[in-house]
Amino acid sequence: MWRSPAIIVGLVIIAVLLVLSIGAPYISPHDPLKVHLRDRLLPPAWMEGGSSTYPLGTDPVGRDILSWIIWGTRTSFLLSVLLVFITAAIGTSLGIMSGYLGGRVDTFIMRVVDLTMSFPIILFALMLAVIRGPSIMTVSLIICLTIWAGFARMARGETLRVKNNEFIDAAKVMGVSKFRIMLRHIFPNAMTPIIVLGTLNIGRTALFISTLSFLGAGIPTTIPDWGNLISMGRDYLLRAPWVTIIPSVAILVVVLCFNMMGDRLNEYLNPEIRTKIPVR
Amino acid sequence: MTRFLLIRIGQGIIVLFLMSMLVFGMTRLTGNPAVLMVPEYATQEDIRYWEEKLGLDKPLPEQYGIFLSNVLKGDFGASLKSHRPALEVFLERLPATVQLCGSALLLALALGFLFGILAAVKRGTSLESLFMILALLGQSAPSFVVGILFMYFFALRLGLLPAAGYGGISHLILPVITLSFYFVAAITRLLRGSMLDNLGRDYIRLARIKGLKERTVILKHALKNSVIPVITYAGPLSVTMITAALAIEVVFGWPGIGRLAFDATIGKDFPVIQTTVLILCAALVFVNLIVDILYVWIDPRIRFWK
Repeated sequence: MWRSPAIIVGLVIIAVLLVLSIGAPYISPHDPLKVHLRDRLLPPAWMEGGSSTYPLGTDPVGRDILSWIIWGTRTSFLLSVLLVFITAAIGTSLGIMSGYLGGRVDTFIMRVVDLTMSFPIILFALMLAVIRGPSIMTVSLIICLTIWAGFARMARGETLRVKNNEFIDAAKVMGVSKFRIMLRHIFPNAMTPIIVLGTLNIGRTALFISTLSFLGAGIPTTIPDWGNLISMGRDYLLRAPWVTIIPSVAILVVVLCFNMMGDRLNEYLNPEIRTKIPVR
Repeated sequence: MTRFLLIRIGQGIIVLFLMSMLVFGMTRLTGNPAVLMVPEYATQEDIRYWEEKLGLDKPLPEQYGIFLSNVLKGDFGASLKSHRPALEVFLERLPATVQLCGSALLLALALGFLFGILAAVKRGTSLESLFMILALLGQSAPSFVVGILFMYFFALRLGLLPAAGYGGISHLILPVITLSFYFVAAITRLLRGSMLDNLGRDYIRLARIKGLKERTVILKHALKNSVIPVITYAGPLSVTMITAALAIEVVFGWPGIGRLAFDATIGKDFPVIQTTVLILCAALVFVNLIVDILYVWIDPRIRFWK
């Protein structure tokens, strides 16, 4: 697996993003929120009229785009990773409970899962944005409510696959508690597909956050984020395309990176996908 | 079958009920829901009018009853911006969105099936790799990013198509391609996966041994069984389509629901946002109902009833 170029490139990109998001105060050349009205809409350094003070140019009110992008990794990348970790934990626990305990618990949890998966929770973000104003908390809540169901369904499926094994029966006979069986015996055996799903969901979450920010219902414009920079630069697309195109490419790279890694991981962990059908 | 239909419709109604409770609950988050229904410059009398109309002095269950009866009567309040009934404003924008989503759906189905089948049949060729790279890109790029990039290159740079606005076919091309991009990708991937799965099975080998034409084997035998996973995802995909359409309408200045919702979010026009959320949710519940029925109808092996 470690020889796959997709995985190596992906890991390098993630490492860079991690360094940028944690070290943003030390790395970014300017304060991302500082307005330089004299230097509005400057092009990137390599274009005519660009200056090396602002390597990626400036936005419509003269804020440094490079600094905005660097600080933006916190909401566009770090937040996605954190949210997926938290949500995966909640979704997986519910899924394992649903699969292992069965009966009414199972029916109830799975009905809620079906409901969530076919329900436009994201629209409620718009409503909350009007009622309470856009905020990171609202975005996080909406995203958790949207993606937990996928984890629950996956974990339930895996639990059903694992739960009839002899080692589970053995644990039961030895008097291991239900909780401990789920945690120590089922969870480790159900983890693989959940890691794949988690990787894919990080990309999906980054996509959600940026879409919401673009629609004015995500990260407030007082916090640097890639989605809201695109939304601010949109009116200047012809005059200053870099304001929109640079963060667009950044989002594309992050989502692509996680989707590609998720795909490769999936192929690696489920080799039958590759080998089941002979090439004709 | 009738029993299944009744249960499924019943569930749909329960979902609608829960949804209305959620919306109702959200409006109570502010402390005074009447403030949401009036513009910022409203007088005390305006606020008092709404307090009375929403029955804010009555107990909560009764307030919910009033809310529900207003919604069922189609009375969603007046848009704070245009001072016209929110429902009227919403319905006025509906055709543009239906046109956009409908065209994108048709294009996505056509291309998605074509690419998905070809990718599975031409397994191991560079054609498959090309489709799979396209599919990965399509699923990774946020719709508004694709829209902006398309607009920049095809409209602003090359001047081939109008950049934004509403009008003839030429205005429709860029938004529709952008919107269908993700769905072409999703359908291609789903269909390729299930086609490959089916093509390895015994019944396909039997069909080939029987001497059926390859075209018949692929299109009639394999494809028929491979459509099912695509239908399973129709529900979640329709949710994605709504959100993607919202963002794309904003990019291309398309005068539909998305543009309306965006302006209402920015302008804090609560009655319009509430109308939009309620109606779109109800529409999706309905779509899901249709999908479930279709699902059972297409695959006789699936039986939700005993």
